[in-house]
Amino acid sequence: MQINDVQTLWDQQPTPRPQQTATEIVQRSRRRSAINAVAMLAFFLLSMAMAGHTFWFSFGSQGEALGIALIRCSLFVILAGVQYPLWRQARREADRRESCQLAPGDCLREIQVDLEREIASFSPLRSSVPLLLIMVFISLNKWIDYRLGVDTLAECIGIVIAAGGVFGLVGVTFWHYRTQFLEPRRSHIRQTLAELGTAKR
Amino acid sequence: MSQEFLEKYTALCWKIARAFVDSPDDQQDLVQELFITLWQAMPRMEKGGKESTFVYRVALNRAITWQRRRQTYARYLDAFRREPRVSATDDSPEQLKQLYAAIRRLSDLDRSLVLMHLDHLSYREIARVLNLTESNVGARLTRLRKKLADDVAGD
Repeated sequence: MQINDVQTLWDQQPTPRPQQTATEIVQRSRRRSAINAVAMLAFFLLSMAMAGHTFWFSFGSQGEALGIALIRCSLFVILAGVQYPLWRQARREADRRESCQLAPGDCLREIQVDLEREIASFSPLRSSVPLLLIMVFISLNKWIDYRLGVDTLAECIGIVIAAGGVFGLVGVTFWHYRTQFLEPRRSHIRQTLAELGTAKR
Repeated sequence: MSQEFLEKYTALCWKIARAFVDSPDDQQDLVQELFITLWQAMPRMEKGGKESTFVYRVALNRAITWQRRRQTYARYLDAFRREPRVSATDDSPEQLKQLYAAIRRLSDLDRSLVLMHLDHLSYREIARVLNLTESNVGARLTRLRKKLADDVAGD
C-alpha cells in the first residue's frame, strides 16, 4: 500500500452515529458519582452502627457505654481523616495528568516521578500501619467487651488471632503489589521515557 | 452536555478509541469516558486557545490513562471471565481494520502522533500537543507513515 492510500483510507472511513444520547452519558457520569457518595455514606453509617451497637448492647452503665461509643466514633473519624488527604492528593494528581496542561510525554514524566516517590516510600510494613491501627483498635474493643462481660476470654483471644492473620495477609498483598505492579510499571515508563529522550535529541 | 457537542466529537472519540483498544465493547466504554472527560474539561479551555489541540490533548491523555487502568484490571478480571462476552461487531472495511491494528501496535507517543497527523493537524499543532519540536515531529512522521503503509500492506 502507498503512503497516500493510508491517508485516503483514513479520510474515507465512515463516521459512526452516536450510540447514546447526551442525556444518557451525563446520567452515567452522575450515577458513578452517586455510587462513590453511597460508598462513603455506607462507611460512615457502618461506623455509626458499630458505635451504636456498643451503646445499646453493652452491659455497663449508660455513661460508660456512651464514653466507649464516642471513643469508637473518634477513632473512625481519625482513620478517615488520615485517609482523606491521601485520597484527595491522588485525585488531584490524576486530574492534573488528565487535564489540558500535560502532553503525553510530560504525563509520563509526572507518572514516573509519582511512581519513583511511591516506590521509594513504599514499605509493606509502613503501608500496613493504618491496618495495624485498625487491628489494635478491634482488639482493644474486644478487650473492652471482655471487661464489660459481653464476650468471653476465648472470644477475645480468637478475635485478636484472626486480626493478626488478616494483618499478615494484607502485608503479603502489599508485597505482591510492589513486586508485581509498581516495579514493572516503573521499568516500562523508564523505557518509554528513554525512547522519548532519544526522540527529543 | 448537548446533542450538538456529542455529534461534533463523535468521530474523534471513536477514532481514538479504536486506535487504543481492540475489543468493540472496550471501544464503546472508552468513547463514553472520552465524552465525559471532554465535557468536564471544556470549561478549562484557555480563552484564545485552539480547540483542536486542546481536545486532542485532553482526549489522548484520558485514553492513555484509561488503557493503563484497563490493562491492570483486565489481568485480574479476565481470570474470572468464563463465558465469552456478547460483543458488539465491527463491520468496517478489512483494510481499515488492518490500519487500526497497525496503529494499536505503536507506542503511546507514536500512536498519538499518527492520529493527529491523519486528522490533518499541522506539525506545529502536533508539536504543541506532544511537547516535541516541529522537526522531530516531521522526522518521526516520515518513519511512521512508511511503517504504517508497509504494515497495512503486509497484514
